[in-house]
Amino acid sequence: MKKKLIALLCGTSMVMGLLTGCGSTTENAAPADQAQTAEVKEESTPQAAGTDEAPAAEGGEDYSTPLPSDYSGTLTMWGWDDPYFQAVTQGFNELYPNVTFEYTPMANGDTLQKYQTALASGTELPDVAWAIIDSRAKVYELDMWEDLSAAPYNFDINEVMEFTRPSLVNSKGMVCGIEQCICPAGLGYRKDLAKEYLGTDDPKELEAMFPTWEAFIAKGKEVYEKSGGTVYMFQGLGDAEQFIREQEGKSWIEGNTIKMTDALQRSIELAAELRDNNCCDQLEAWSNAWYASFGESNHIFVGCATWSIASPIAANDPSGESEGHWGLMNTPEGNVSWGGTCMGITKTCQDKRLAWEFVKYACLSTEGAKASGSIGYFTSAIKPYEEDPELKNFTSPWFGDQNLGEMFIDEIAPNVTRRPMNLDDNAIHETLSLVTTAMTNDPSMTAEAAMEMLKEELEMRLPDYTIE
Amino acid sequence: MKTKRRSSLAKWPYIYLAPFFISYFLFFIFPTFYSLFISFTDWDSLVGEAGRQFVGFANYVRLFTKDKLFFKAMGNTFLFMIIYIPLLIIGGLVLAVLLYQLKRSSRFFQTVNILPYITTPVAIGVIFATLFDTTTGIVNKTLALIGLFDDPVNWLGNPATARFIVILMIVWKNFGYYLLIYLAGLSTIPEEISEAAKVDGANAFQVFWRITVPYLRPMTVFLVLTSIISGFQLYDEPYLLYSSQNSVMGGPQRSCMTAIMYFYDQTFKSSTRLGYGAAVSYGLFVIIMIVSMIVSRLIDKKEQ
Repeated sequence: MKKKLIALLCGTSMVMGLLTGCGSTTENAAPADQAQTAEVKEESTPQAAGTDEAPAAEGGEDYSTPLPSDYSGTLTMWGWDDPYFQAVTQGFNELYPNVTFEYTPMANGDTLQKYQTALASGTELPDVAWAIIDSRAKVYELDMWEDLSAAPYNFDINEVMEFTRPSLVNSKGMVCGIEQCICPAGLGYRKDLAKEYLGTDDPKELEAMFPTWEAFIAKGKEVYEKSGGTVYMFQGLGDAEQFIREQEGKSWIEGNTIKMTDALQRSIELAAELRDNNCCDQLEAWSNAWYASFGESNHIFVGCATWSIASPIAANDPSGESEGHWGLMNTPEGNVSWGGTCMGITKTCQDKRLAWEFVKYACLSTEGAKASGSIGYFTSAIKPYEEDPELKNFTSPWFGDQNLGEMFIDEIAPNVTRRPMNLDDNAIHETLSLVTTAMTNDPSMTAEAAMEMLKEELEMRLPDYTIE
Repeated sequence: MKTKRRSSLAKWPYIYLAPFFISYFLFFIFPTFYSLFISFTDWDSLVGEAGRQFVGFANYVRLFTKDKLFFKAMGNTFLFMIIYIPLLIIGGLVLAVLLYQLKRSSRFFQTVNILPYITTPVAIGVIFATLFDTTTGIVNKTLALIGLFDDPVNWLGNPATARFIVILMIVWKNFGYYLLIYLAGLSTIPEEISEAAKVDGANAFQVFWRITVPYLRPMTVFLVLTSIISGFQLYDEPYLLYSSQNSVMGGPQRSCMTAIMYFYDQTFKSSTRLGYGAAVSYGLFVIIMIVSMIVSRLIDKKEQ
């Protein structure tokens, strides 16, 4: 009998041990979470008791009034921009010191995969979710977002700059997020090289020198020859081609058709001309050599969005801080919007009231604009910059005394157009990178051959579409 | 009394075996059949599980009639296998025989050869990407130093050289494993046979060809079959070589895209079609099964 009992206990413990491993993380985490919440509540109770304005319950549907300053809670986020996270959460904690954040670093290229895997497996999503522009069309179709334009959030999309609005909305008309910051991009240039090879480092004179890409290419050829083949206009063909194609602002896909000729041909043709006239070096964007080139004196121009100032420019040009190496100018034939990350609230968020307070703070408030401004970012909200025009002032030692904030907000942002988002844009974007790499590696590849290759690759990559 | 006791004991083997069978069912049988089931649906993460529809063989029809990239990925995988499997088999065998005859320092050389096998694949990807970088890579610097090339070679940007580097990575990494298996096999060959052959006038090559190679045949068959199966699952090396932020999946002109990379890309990376991804994995399963059957038939036939 005793033996039987021991055997039964052994067998049961083995099976239980196995099944314990199968338990979901959420269930395992629940007691710990409850304990944490209880602890936080206990701490905050005496302070909360003293406040007149208690937060509305989630069912109360009133998110317009601010939370009491002693409100406590925790928000989780997965993201890829640590400086931004630090800046806005520190600013938020000045208003709400009892709110804590749990931040999980994630590569922006993994966004779609991480969210869809979490959805399919039923594991937890972050409370405040980020969505990068590259994969946003698909990410916004996932059944995970709160509609910020609906009650209780009641976000008015007219509060943000016009060019950002279409990319906040999914195909069902839901506003799934708000831009962390605007990403208008002009051309950054090395002032020392511009002075030496173009005769001036004044942005207005340079803009007058390059009204079109054709003028840019003609000058690029001269620079290459004058420097004995050591100085180029751009670091790589991909950098230039990406800029040119975004200037078009045309949708890549319409219905079931990829508008290859209409939306992409000009950028491929200009890329071939840039290459044939030695305007572009052979560096692949985001490679180690490409990063290192910011600290070298071999390339005059780089694409420069708001985020480019901190990285890659400042991060890879240590001597530029004291010497003010860089300048910012308008791009020939128009500026573009380059990049962008939205923040939205997930359906599974435990404290949507708090999450909305944070998103409102970071993306719409004047205080949030100040916090973003501390790292050279500018929110898409219109009001903060009307209320406090000083917020537009931003200089960086790398750009001398040039007022970059004013240039980005007043000159570049109002005139950029953003290409409409489509579900398969990321596949087309990747295929374009493949083609520009092939064009760089094979100098004999003509624009026609590159277009033919693009067509073949797109047919292979997206066989359900018609290529036009 | 005895029968009663026997019947009361009969359940215990099942209870003790239950943990294994439960886990086997949960983590192997169920996912296998569930993924087969979802390969017949149009399950897309964007629509969600509730919105998925049964589509019969539509995913398989698209895979085998319309999806050229799948066949390109399969072609790349075959190409890699055709080149690296013979290199590993022949190289591993020759080196094992040489090391086996080494009287001193054989342990040292065995350790040196096994080190890449136990190195984490991520590190290998980073090392090779750095070594073969066009502008900063040590390979180009060395070639320029000894005057072999004036212009730097774009190793990772050219389809042919990119494939060469992937094969080099696989051979470098797995050489030690093949060596170990053959060394284990060599220790089972009776020394008297080789000695008798030498007394009868056989030279070193004849001993190797007539005695060593036939004796190691079971190891070779094992290595060939497992290499084919793992070859179809090739993923780490080419993926890590092109894992930087802006790299194209599969490298230049997708010359290094393998079947598993394609499956991953279609299911999780650039697409969200879980149903189609499952069909890709089952398509791959069918191809692996057919090739493995052909190879084992060929080996059996030769043995008969």
